[in-house]
Amino acid sequence: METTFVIVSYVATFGGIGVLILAMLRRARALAQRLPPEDRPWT
Amino acid sequence: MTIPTETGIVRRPTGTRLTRAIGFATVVGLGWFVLFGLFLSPDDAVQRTGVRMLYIHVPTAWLAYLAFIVTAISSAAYLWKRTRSLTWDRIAGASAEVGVLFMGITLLTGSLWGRVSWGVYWVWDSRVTTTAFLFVTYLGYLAVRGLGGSHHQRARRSAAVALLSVLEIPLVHFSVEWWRPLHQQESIANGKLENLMLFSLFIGVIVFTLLYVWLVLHRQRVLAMQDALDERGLEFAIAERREEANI
Repeated sequence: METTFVIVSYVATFGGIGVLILAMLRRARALAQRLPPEDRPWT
Repeated sequence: MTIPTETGIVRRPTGTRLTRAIGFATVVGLGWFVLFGLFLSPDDAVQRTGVRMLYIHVPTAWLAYLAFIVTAISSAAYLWKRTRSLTWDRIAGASAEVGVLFMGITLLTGSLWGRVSWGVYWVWDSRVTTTAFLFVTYLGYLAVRGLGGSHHQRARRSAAVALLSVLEIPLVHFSVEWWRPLHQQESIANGKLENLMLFSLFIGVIVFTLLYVWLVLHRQRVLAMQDALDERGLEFAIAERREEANI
């Protein structure tokens, strides 16, 4: 049972972070398409 | 309303050489973290393999504290007239979002670890309750950021909330000293971890720190683009009304 809980905690942590990163990058791409390059001074 | 701008896919809208380097270091560190955390570090004499949850639980709790402190410092920098800039507000917002994510992971892994160690997912002891209270407070902070008004109104309002919310952190941290809860006291400072366990924890701290920096850099740029789009949307709407008036 302990091993199952350990695996669940690692998968939930990194899976959750991964899903949020993908959502953030998709949002970034969608916004960037609607803005001129001067609104992205870091690029 | 559609805003006329360039078209075409922007491949790396928030990425720079720095973020790519941090991202690469994070992925490499993550490999090491999984290797040491799940395979190379030994079982604990009391908690057996359940101790491996510590390598996520503790770093995410520390990084959530750091994230909320960064939110407070950035909010103070916004409120101070000499350094007033919406960039500080966006860093505060991005850091709080990542802090909430990490605090959520702390609560989740703590709950699973509690089931293994104590036999229950949740107890209303002082450390667990104050941590949950801190999590809900910063959810409230993010809700306040989402209220209407101009960008500067949002920044002033949320900065005040951030400076009050950060005062909860000492309460959470010292709750194990003040109230003697079921939650264990400091393991690291008391030298209860052996070398390989300590090293796994150290890798965890490094990996989650890199991840925090990477996430905040990207997220604050997404927020900057969102703000720019809001402003351009307003400019476009005004231009449209003027055109209509001329006709």
